[in-house]
Amino acid sequence: MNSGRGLQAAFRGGTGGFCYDVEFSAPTHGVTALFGPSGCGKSTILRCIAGLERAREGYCHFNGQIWQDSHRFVPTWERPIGFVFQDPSLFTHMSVRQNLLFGASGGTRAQQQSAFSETIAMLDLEPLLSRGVTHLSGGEKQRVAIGRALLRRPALLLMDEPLSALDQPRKQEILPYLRTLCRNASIPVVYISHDPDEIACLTDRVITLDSGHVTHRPTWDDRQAFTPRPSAAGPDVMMGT
Amino acid sequence: MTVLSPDVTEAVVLTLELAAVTTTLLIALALPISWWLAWPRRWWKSVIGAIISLPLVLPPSVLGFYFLVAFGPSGPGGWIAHLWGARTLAFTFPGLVIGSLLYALPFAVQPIHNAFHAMGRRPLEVAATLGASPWRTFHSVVIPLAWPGIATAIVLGFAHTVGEFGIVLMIGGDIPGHTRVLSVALYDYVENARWHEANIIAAGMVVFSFITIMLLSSLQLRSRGHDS
Repeated sequence: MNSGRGLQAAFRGGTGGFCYDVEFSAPTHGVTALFGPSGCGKSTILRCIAGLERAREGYCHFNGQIWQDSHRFVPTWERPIGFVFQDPSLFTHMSVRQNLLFGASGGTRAQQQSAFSETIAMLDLEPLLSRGVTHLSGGEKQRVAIGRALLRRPALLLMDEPLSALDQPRKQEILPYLRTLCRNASIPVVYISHDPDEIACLTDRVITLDSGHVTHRPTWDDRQAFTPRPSAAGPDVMMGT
Repeated sequence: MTVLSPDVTEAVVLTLELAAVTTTLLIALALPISWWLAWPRRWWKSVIGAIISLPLVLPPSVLGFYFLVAFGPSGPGGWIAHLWGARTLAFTFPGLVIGSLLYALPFAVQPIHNAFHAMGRRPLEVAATLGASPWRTFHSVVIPLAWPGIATAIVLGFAHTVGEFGIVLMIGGDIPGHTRVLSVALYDYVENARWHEANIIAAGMVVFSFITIMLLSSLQLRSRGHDS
Protein backbone atom coordinates (compact mmCIF):
# COMPACT_ATOMS: atom_id res chain seq x y z
CA MET A 1 0.00 0.00 0.00
CA ASN A 2 2.87 2.35 0.50
CA SER A 3 4.22 1.83 -2.98
CA GLY A 4 3.49 5.48 -3.66
CA ARG A 5 1.40 4.58 -6.70
CA GLY A 6 -2.35 4.84 -6.88
CA LEU A 7 -4.43 6.71 -4.39
CA GLN A 8 -4.00 6.68 -0.64
CA ALA A 9 -6.42 8.72 1.36
CA ALA A 10 -7.45 9.28 4.93
CA PHE A 11 -9.89 11.91 6.05
CA ARG A 12 -11.32 12.84 9.40
CA GLY A 13 -13.74 15.66 9.98
CA GLY A 14 -17.35 16.60 10.18
CA THR A 15 -20.03 18.95 8.97
CA GLY A 16 -22.96 19.73 11.23
CA GLY A 17 -23.90 16.61 13.17
CA PHE A 18 -22.19 14.28 10.69
CA CYS A 19 -18.72 12.91 11.35
CA TYR A 20 -16.48 10.85 9.13
CA ASP A 21 -13.23 9.03 9.69
CA VAL A 22 -12.06 6.94 6.77
CA GLU A 23 -8.85 5.53 5.43
CA PHE A 24 -8.56 3.63 2.17
CA SER A 25 -6.49 3.17 -0.95
CA ALA A 26 -7.10 2.47 -4.60
CA PRO A 27 -4.71 0.85 -7.09
CA THR A 28 -3.29 2.51 -10.18
CA HIS A 29 -6.00 1.19 -12.42
CA GLY A 30 -9.41 -0.36 -12.29
CA VAL A 31 -12.59 0.96 -10.85
CA THR A 32 -12.92 1.27 -7.09
CA ALA A 33 -16.41 1.69 -5.75
CA LEU A 34 -17.30 3.61 -2.64
CA PHE A 35 -20.56 1.99 -1.76
CA GLY A 36 -23.07 2.68 0.97
CA PRO A 37 -26.55 3.97 1.75
CA SER A 38 -27.54 7.56 1.04
CA GLY A 39 -26.14 9.94 3.62
CA CYS A 40 -23.24 7.68 4.62
CA GLY A 41 -20.66 10.27 3.60
CA LYS A 42 -19.56 8.88 0.23
CA SER A 43 -19.93 12.16 -1.60
CA THR A 44 -18.10 14.06 1.12
CA ILE A 45 -15.16 11.65 0.86
CA LEU A 46 -15.05 12.04 -2.91
CA ARG A 47 -15.17 15.81 -2.56
CA CYS A 48 -12.27 15.59 -0.13
CA ILE A 49 -10.23 13.66 -2.70
CA ALA A 50 -11.01 16.36 -5.27
CA GLY A 51 -10.16 19.13 -2.83
CA LEU A 52 -13.66 20.60 -3.07
CA GLU A 53 -14.03 19.95 0.63
CA ARG A 54 -11.26 20.27 3.15
CA ALA A 55 -11.33 17.70 5.92
CA ARG A 56 -10.18 18.94 9.31
CA GLU A 57 -7.49 16.29 9.24
CA GLY A 58 -6.63 14.76 5.95
CA TYR A 59 -4.04 12.90 4.00
CA CYS A 60 -4.27 12.39 0.28
CA HIS A 61 -1.50 11.02 -1.82
CA PHE A 62 -1.74 10.18 -5.51
CA ASN A 63 0.99 8.64 -7.70
CA GLY A 64 3.81 10.17 -5.72
CA GLN A 65 2.20 13.57 -5.31
CA ILE A 66 0.88 14.81 -2.01
CA TRP A 67 -2.43 16.60 -2.48
CA GLN A 68 -3.16 17.08 1.17
CA ASP A 69 -1.33 16.56 4.44
CA SER A 70 -0.97 18.51 7.64
CA HIS A 71 0.67 21.50 5.94
CA ARG A 72 -0.20 21.19 2.30
CA PHE A 73 -3.45 21.55 0.45
CA VAL A 74 -3.30 21.53 -3.33
CA PRO A 75 -6.30 23.49 -4.66
CA THR A 76 -8.76 21.55 -6.82
CA TRP A 77 -7.79 23.24 -10.07
CA GLU A 78 -4.18 22.07 -9.70
CA ARG A 79 -5.11 18.42 -9.14
CA PRO A 80 -5.12 16.30 -12.34
CA ILE A 81 -8.62 14.95 -11.76
CA GLY A 82 -11.80 14.53 -13.70
CA PHE A 83 -15.01 14.84 -11.74
CA VAL A 84 -18.49 13.81 -12.82
CA PHE A 85 -21.15 15.25 -10.54
CA GLN A 86 -24.54 13.77 -9.76
CA ASP A 87 -26.29 16.39 -11.85
CA PRO A 88 -24.57 17.24 -15.13
CA SER A 89 -23.88 20.88 -14.16
CA LEU A 90 -23.11 21.95 -17.71
CA PHE A 91 -22.24 25.59 -18.31
CA THR A 92 -25.52 26.99 -19.60
CA HIS A 93 -23.88 29.88 -21.44
CA MET A 94 -21.83 27.58 -23.66
CA SER A 95 -22.62 25.16 -26.48
CA VAL A 96 -21.99 21.43 -26.10
CA ARG A 97 -18.69 21.80 -27.94
CA GLN A 98 -17.54 24.67 -25.73
CA ASN A 99 -18.48 22.68 -22.63
CA LEU A 100 -16.48 19.71 -23.86
CA LEU A 101 -13.43 21.80 -24.64
CA PHE A 102 -13.49 23.89 -21.45
CA GLY A 103 -11.02 21.69 -19.62
CA ALA A 104 -9.21 20.24 -22.66
CA SER A 105 -5.53 20.54 -22.04
CA GLY A 106 -2.20 18.79 -22.21
CA GLY A 107 -0.47 17.17 -25.15
CA THR A 108 0.01 18.45 -28.64
CA ARG A 109 -2.74 19.78 -30.84
CA ALA A 110 -2.88 16.48 -32.70
CA GLN A 111 -3.22 14.52 -29.46
CA GLN A 112 -5.98 16.82 -28.34
CA GLN A 113 -7.71 16.39 -31.67
CA SER A 114 -7.60 12.62 -31.46
CA ALA A 115 -8.68 12.58 -27.82
CA PHE A 116 -11.58 14.79 -28.85
CA SER A 117 -12.73 12.59 -31.70
CA GLU A 118 -12.33 9.42 -29.61
CA THR A 119 -14.39 10.82 -26.78
CA ILE A 120 -17.05 12.08 -29.19
CA ALA A 121 -17.21 8.65 -30.79
CA MET A 122 -17.32 6.74 -27.53
CA LEU A 123 -20.13 8.85 -26.07
CA ASP A 124 -21.98 9.43 -29.36
CA LEU A 125 -21.80 13.17 -29.00
CA GLU A 126 -21.33 14.14 -32.66
CA PRO A 127 -24.98 15.11 -33.30
CA LEU A 128 -25.06 17.31 -30.18
CA LEU A 129 -21.88 19.31 -30.69
CA SER A 130 -23.28 22.56 -32.02
CA ARG A 131 -26.37 22.59 -29.81
CA GLY A 132 -26.94 24.60 -26.66
CA VAL A 133 -27.15 22.64 -23.45
CA THR A 134 -30.50 23.79 -22.03
CA HIS A 135 -32.69 21.62 -24.24
CA LEU A 136 -30.72 18.39 -24.07
CA SER A 137 -32.30 15.41 -22.31
CA GLY A 138 -31.00 14.37 -18.90
CA GLY A 139 -29.09 11.45 -20.40
CA GLU A 140 -27.52 13.58 -23.13
CA LYS A 141 -26.46 16.17 -20.57
CA GLN A 142 -24.77 13.56 -18.42
CA ARG A 143 -22.94 12.16 -21.47
CA VAL A 144 -21.63 15.63 -22.23
CA ALA A 145 -20.56 16.02 -18.59
CA ILE A 146 -18.68 12.71 -18.73
CA GLY A 147 -17.01 13.68 -21.99
CA ARG A 148 -16.03 17.04 -20.55
CA ALA A 149 -14.37 15.38 -17.56
CA LEU A 150 -12.51 12.91 -19.82
CA LEU A 151 -11.25 15.57 -22.22
CA ARG A 152 -9.39 17.14 -19.38
CA ARG A 153 -7.21 14.00 -19.70
CA PRO A 154 -7.25 13.40 -15.95
CA ALA A 155 -4.93 11.08 -14.05
CA LEU A 156 -7.75 10.09 -11.72
CA LEU A 157 -11.43 10.02 -12.54
CA LEU A 158 -13.95 10.63 -9.77
CA MET A 159 -17.61 9.89 -10.34
CA ASP A 160 -20.26 10.89 -7.85
CA GLU A 161 -23.40 8.84 -8.57
CA PRO A 162 -23.47 9.88 -12.22
CA LEU A 163 -26.65 7.88 -12.85
CA SER A 164 -28.70 8.71 -9.79
CA ALA A 165 -30.37 11.81 -11.19
CA LEU A 166 -31.68 9.84 -14.19
CA ASP A 167 -34.84 7.78 -14.60
CA GLN A 168 -34.62 4.08 -15.45
CA PRO A 169 -34.67 4.35 -19.28
CA ARG A 170 -32.01 7.11 -19.22
CA LYS A 171 -29.91 4.99 -16.88
CA GLN A 172 -30.06 2.12 -19.34
CA GLU A 173 -29.08 4.55 -22.06
CA ILE A 174 -25.92 5.69 -20.26
CA LEU A 175 -24.86 2.45 -18.61
CA PRO A 176 -23.30 0.92 -21.76
CA TYR A 177 -21.21 4.06 -22.27
CA LEU A 178 -20.01 3.93 -18.69
CA ARG A 179 -19.23 0.26 -19.10
CA THR A 180 -17.04 0.91 -22.14
CA LEU A 181 -15.40 3.75 -20.27
CA CYS A 182 -14.66 1.66 -17.17
CA ARG A 183 -13.46 -1.30 -19.21
CA ASN A 184 -11.00 0.75 -21.19
CA ALA A 185 -9.87 3.18 -18.59
CA SER A 186 -6.12 3.27 -18.25
CA ILE A 187 -6.43 5.50 -15.20
CA PRO A 188 -7.95 4.69 -11.82
CA VAL A 189 -11.59 5.50 -11.33
CA VAL A 190 -13.33 6.05 -8.00
CA TYR A 191 -17.03 5.46 -8.47
CA ILE A 192 -19.70 6.28 -5.94
CA SER A 193 -23.07 4.65 -5.81
CA HIS A 194 -25.78 3.30 -3.53
CA ASP A 195 -27.07 0.96 -6.22
CA PRO A 196 -25.67 -2.62 -5.93
CA ASP A 197 -26.47 -3.45 -9.57
CA GLU A 198 -24.53 -0.48 -10.83
CA ILE A 199 -21.59 -1.42 -8.60
CA ALA A 200 -21.65 -5.04 -9.78
CA CYS A 201 -21.80 -4.00 -13.39
CA LEU A 202 -19.13 -1.32 -13.38
CA THR A 203 -16.59 -1.72 -10.65
CA ASP A 204 -13.73 -4.05 -9.74
CA ARG A 205 -13.44 -3.62 -6.02
CA VAL A 206 -15.79 -2.28 -3.42
CA ILE A 207 -15.19 -0.28 -0.30
CA THR A 208 -18.32 -0.14 1.82
CA LEU A 209 -19.07 2.89 3.94
CA ASP A 210 -21.62 3.41 6.65
CA SER A 211 -22.20 6.59 8.63
CA GLY A 212 -18.82 8.00 7.83
CA HIS A 213 -16.79 4.86 8.46
CA VAL A 214 -15.34 2.11 6.30
CA THR A 215 -17.23 -1.07 7.16
CA HIS A 216 -15.75 -3.36 4.55
CA ARG A 217 -12.66 -3.11 2.43
CA PRO A 218 -11.38 -5.57 -0.15
CA THR A 219 -9.70 -8.52 1.54
CA TRP A 220 -6.40 -9.85 0.34
CA ASP A 221 -8.31 -12.48 -1.65
CA ASP A 222 -10.32 -9.80 -3.36
CA ARG A 223 -7.10 -8.10 -4.28
CA GLN A 224 -5.67 -11.29 -5.68
CA ALA A 225 -8.82 -11.77 -7.65
CA PHE A 226 -8.45 -8.34 -9.12
CA THR A 227 -6.22 -8.56 -12.10
CA PRO A 228 -5.72 -5.44 -14.09
CA ARG A 229 -7.18 -5.82 -17.52
CA PRO A 230 -4.84 -5.14 -20.39
CA SER A 231 -6.10 -1.91 -21.85
CA ALA A 232 -7.78 -2.70 -25.09
CA ALA A 233 -6.33 -1.32 -28.28
CA GLY A 234 -8.37 0.38 -30.96
CA PRO A 235 -10.59 3.40 -31.15
CA ASP A 236 -12.17 2.78 -27.76
CA VAL A 237 -9.01 3.50 -25.84
CA MET A 238 -9.18 7.04 -24.82
CA MET A 239 -7.65 8.04 -21.60
CA GLY A 240 -3.97 7.78 -22.25
CA THR A 241 -2.06 9.58 -19.56
CA MET B 1 -38.40 75.61 -30.83
CA THR B 2 -35.03 76.89 -29.83
CA VAL B 3 -31.99 74.67 -29.53
CA LEU B 4 -30.75 73.71 -26.08
CA SER B 5 -29.28 76.69 -24.32
CA PRO B 6 -25.56 76.35 -23.52
CA ASP B 7 -26.14 75.99 -19.79
CA VAL B 8 -28.57 73.11 -20.32
CA THR B 9 -26.06 71.40 -22.62
CA GLU B 10 -23.38 71.91 -20.00
CA ALA B 11 -25.58 70.27 -17.35
CA VAL B 12 -26.37 67.34 -19.65
CA VAL B 13 -22.68 66.71 -20.38
CA LEU B 14 -21.74 66.99 -16.71
CA THR B 15 -24.53 64.63 -15.68
CA LEU B 16 -23.53 62.00 -18.23
CA GLU B 17 -19.89 62.37 -17.23
CA LEU B 18 -20.77 61.92 -13.56
CA ALA B 19 -22.99 58.91 -14.29
CA ALA B 20 -20.37 57.26 -16.51
CA VAL B 21 -17.51 57.67 -14.03
CA THR B 22 -19.69 56.62 -11.09
CA THR B 23 -21.06 53.55 -12.87
CA THR B 24 -17.60 52.35 -13.89
CA LEU B 25 -16.28 52.64 -10.33
CA LEU B 26 -19.54 51.26 -9.01
CA ILE B 27 -19.26 47.97 -10.90
CA ALA B 28 -15.57 47.64 -10.01
CA LEU B 29 -16.55 47.98 -6.35
CA ALA B 30 -19.84 46.05 -6.39
CA LEU B 31 -18.43 42.88 -8.00
CA PRO B 32 -15.93 42.00 -5.25
CA ILE B 33 -18.30 43.14 -2.49
CA SER B 34 -21.17 40.99 -3.81
CA TRP B 35 -18.78 38.06 -4.23
CA TRP B 36 -17.54 38.42 -0.70
CA LEU B 37 -21.08 38.77 0.68
CA ALA B 38 -22.35 35.74 -1.24
CA TRP B 39 -19.86 33.10 0.04
CA PRO B 40 -19.46 31.81 2.57
CA ARG B 41 -22.59 32.92 4.41
CA ARG B 42 -21.92 34.34 7.85
CA TRP B 43 -24.31 36.22 10.10
CA TRP B 44 -22.07 39.28 10.35
CA LYS B 45 -22.00 39.57 6.59
CA SER B 46 -25.72 40.34 6.66
CA VAL B 47 -24.90 43.21 9.02
CA ILE B 48 -22.39 44.57 6.48
CA GLY B 49 -25.03 44.00 3.79
CA ALA B 50 -27.51 46.03 5.80
CA ILE B 51 -25.04 48.91 6.19
CA ILE B 52 -24.43 48.92 2.43
CA SER B 53 -28.19 48.91 1.90
CA LEU B 54 -28.84 51.91 4.18
CA PRO B 55 -29.11 54.41 1.30
CA LEU B 56 -32.18 52.49 0.09
CA VAL B 57 -34.19 53.85 3.03
CA LEU B 58 -32.29 56.89 4.31
CA PRO B 59 -33.45 60.27 2.98
CA PRO B 60 -30.78 61.36 0.49
CA SER B 61 -30.48 64.73 2.23
CA VAL B 62 -29.47 62.94 5.45
CA LEU B 63 -26.77 61.06 3.57
CA GLY B 64 -25.76 64.28 1.87
CA PHE B 65 -25.43 65.99 5.22
CA TYR B 66 -23.06 63.33 6.57
CA PHE B 67 -21.07 63.37 3.35
CA LEU B 68 -20.79 67.14 3.62
CA VAL B 69 -19.37 66.82 7.12
CA ALA B 70 -17.02 64.00 6.09
CA PHE B 71 -15.85 65.84 2.97
CA GLY B 72 -15.10 69.09 4.79
CA PRO B 73 -11.58 70.35 5.59
CA SER B 74 -11.56 68.60 9.00
CA GLY B 75 -13.07 65.31 7.76
CA PRO B 76 -11.40 62.39 5.97
CA GLY B 77 -12.48 63.91 2.66
CA GLY B 78 -10.43 67.00 3.42
CA TRP B 79 -7.40 64.82 4.05
CA ILE B 80 -7.89 63.07 0.68
CA ALA B 81 -8.33 66.44 -1.03
CA HIS B 82 -4.97 67.54 0.41
CA LEU B 83 -3.36 64.91 -1.86
CA TRP B 84 -3.96 67.21 -4.82
CA GLY B 85 -3.71 70.42 -2.86
CA ALA B 86 -7.39 71.17 -2.39
CA ARG B 87 -8.97 71.97 0.95
CA THR B 88 -12.17 69.99 0.66
CA LEU B 89 -14.01 67.40 -1.39
CA ALA B 90 -17.31 69.19 -0.93
CA PHE B 91 -18.52 71.21 -3.93
CA THR B 92 -16.14 69.31 -6.25
CA PHE B 93 -16.63 66.72 -8.97
CA PRO B 94 -14.64 63.97 -7.12
CA GLY B 95 -16.85 64.62 -4.10
CA LEU B 96 -19.95 64.14 -6.25
CA VAL B 97 -18.53 60.90 -7.62
CA ILE B 98 -17.84 59.48 -4.14
CA GLY B 99 -21.26 60.54 -2.87
CA SER B 100 -23.13 59.08 -5.86
CA LEU B 101 -21.02 55.95 -5.66
CA LEU B 102 -21.96 55.16 -2.07
CA TYR B 103 -25.56 56.16 -2.71
CA ALA B 104 -25.89 53.85 -5.72
CA LEU B 105 -23.94 50.96 -4.18
CA PRO B 106 -26.95 48.98 -2.86
CA PHE B 107 -28.68 49.27 -6.24
CA ALA B 108 -25.67 47.56 -7.82
CA VAL B 109 -24.78 45.10 -5.05
CA GLN B 110 -28.26 43.66 -4.75
CA PRO B 111 -28.79 42.41 -8.32
CA ILE B 112 -25.21 41.12 -8.59
CA HIS B 113 -25.47 39.39 -5.23
CA ASN B 114 -28.76 37.78 -6.29
CA ALA B 115 -27.22 36.65 -9.56
CA PHE B 116 -24.31 35.02 -7.71
CA HIS B 117 -26.76 33.24 -5.42
CA ALA B 118 -28.91 32.03 -8.28
CA MET B 119 -25.80 30.69 -9.99
CA GLY B 120 -24.71 28.80 -6.88
CA ARG B 121 -21.30 27.33 -6.17
CA ARG B 122 -21.60 24.38 -8.53
CA PRO B 123 -20.31 26.09 -11.72
CA LEU B 124 -17.26 27.22 -9.73
CA GLU B 125 -16.63 23.68 -8.54
CA VAL B 126 -17.03 22.28 -12.03
CA ALA B 127 -14.60 24.84 -13.43
CA ALA B 128 -12.08 23.99 -10.71
CA THR B 129 -12.29 20.25 -11.43
CA LEU B 130 -11.65 21.10 -15.08
CA GLY B 131 -8.42 22.82 -14.13
CA ALA B 132 -9.55 26.43 -14.50
CA SER B 133 -7.67 28.92 -12.32
CA PRO B 134 -9.78 31.19 -10.12
CA TRP B 135 -9.19 34.09 -12.52
CA ARG B 136 -10.25 32.06 -15.58
CA THR B 137 -13.30 30.83 -13.68
CA PHE B 138 -14.19 34.41 -12.85
CA HIS B 139 -14.07 35.80 -16.37
CA SER B 140 -15.24 32.81 -18.41
CA VAL B 141 -17.85 31.35 -16.06
CA VAL B 142 -18.90 33.79 -13.35
CA ILE B 143 -19.19 36.97 -15.43
CA PRO B 144 -21.19 35.37 -18.27
CA LEU B 145 -23.50 33.47 -15.91
CA ALA B 146 -24.13 36.50 -13.70
CA TRP B 147 -24.34 38.87 -16.66
CA PRO B 148 -28.09 39.68 -16.39
CA GLY B 149 -27.50 40.76 -12.79
CA ILE B 150 -24.41 42.78 -13.69
CA ALA B 151 -26.22 44.49 -16.57
CA THR B 152 -29.12 45.34 -14.26
CA ALA B 153 -26.61 46.83 -11.82
CA ILE B 154 -25.10 48.96 -14.59
CA VAL B 155 -28.48 50.27 -15.74
CA LEU B 156 -29.74 50.94 -12.20
CA GLY B 157 -26.47 52.55 -11.08
CA PHE B 158 -26.39 54.84 -14.10
CA ALA B 159 -30.06 55.79 -13.79
CA HIS B 160 -29.89 56.49 -10.08
CA THR B 161 -26.84 58.67 -10.51
CA VAL B 162 -28.54 60.66 -13.25
CA GLY B 163 -31.68 61.11 -11.15
CA GLU B 164 -30.08 61.84 -7.77
CA PHE B 165 -31.02 65.21 -6.28
CA GLY B 166 -30.74 65.40 -2.49
CA ILE B 167 -27.14 64.27 -2.20
CA VAL B 168 -25.77 66.29 -5.09
CA LEU B 169 -27.47 69.43 -3.86
CA MET B 170 -26.03 68.95 -0.37
CA ILE B 171 -22.45 68.09 -1.31
CA GLY B 172 -22.19 69.60 -4.75
CA GLY B 173 -23.90 72.92 -4.38
CA ASP B 174 -24.89 74.36 -7.70
CA ILE B 175 -21.70 75.37 -9.50
CA PRO B 176 -22.25 75.51 -13.29
CA GLY B 177 -19.84 73.24 -15.14
CA HIS B 178 -18.56 71.63 -11.95
CA THR B 179 -21.39 70.32 -9.86
CA ARG B 180 -24.54 71.58 -11.50
CA VAL B 181 -26.11 68.37 -12.78
CA LEU B 182 -29.50 68.12 -14.49
CA SER B 183 -31.68 67.48 -11.45
CA VAL B 184 -30.22 70.52 -9.67
CA ALA B 185 -30.43 72.61 -12.83
CA LEU B 186 -34.12 71.73 -13.16
CA TYR B 187 -34.78 72.97 -9.63
CA ASP B 188 -32.83 76.12 -10.41
CA TYR B 189 -34.79 76.86 -13.60
CA VAL B 190 -38.10 76.46 -11.81
CA GLU B 191 -36.90 78.82 -9.05
CA ASN B 192 -36.06 81.37 -11.70
CA ALA B 193 -39.24 80.77 -13.70
CA ARG B 194 -37.34 79.58 -16.80
CA TRP B 195 -40.13 77.20 -17.76
CA HIS B 196 -38.86 76.41 -21.23
CA GLU B 197 -35.57 74.92 -19.99
CA ALA B 198 -37.32 73.22 -17.09
CA ASN B 199 -39.75 71.58 -19.51
CA ILE B 200 -36.95 70.33 -21.76
CA ILE B 201 -35.06 68.77 -18.85
CA ALA B 202 -38.14 67.23 -17.28
CA ALA B 203 -39.33 65.72 -20.56
CA GLY B 204 -35.82 64.45 -21.28
CA MET B 205 -35.76 62.74 -17.88
CA VAL B 206 -39.12 61.08 -18.57
CA VAL B 207 -37.82 59.68 -21.86
CA PHE B 208 -34.59 58.57 -20.19
CA SER B 209 -36.50 56.82 -17.38
CA PHE B 210 -38.76 55.09 -19.86
CA ILE B 211 -35.75 53.75 -21.78
CA THR B 212 -34.24 52.58 -18.49
CA ILE B 213 -37.36 50.64 -17.53
CA MET B 214 -37.56 49.07 -20.99
CA LEU B 215 -33.92 48.02 -20.73
CA LEU B 216 -34.43 46.51 -17.29
CA SER B 217 -37.49 44.50 -18.26
CA SER B 218 -35.77 43.14 -21.36
CA LEU B 219 -32.82 42.13 -19.17
CA GLN B 220 -35.17 40.32 -16.79
CA LEU B 221 -36.79 38.51 -19.71
CA ARG B 222 -33.40 37.43 -20.94
CA SER B 223 -32.30 36.12 -17.56
CA ARG B 224 -35.52 34.13 -17.26
CA GLY B 225 -34.89 32.67 -20.69
CA HIS B 226 -31.49 31.59 -19.41
CA ASP B 227 -32.97 29.56 -16.57
CA SER B 228 -35.47 27.56 -18.57
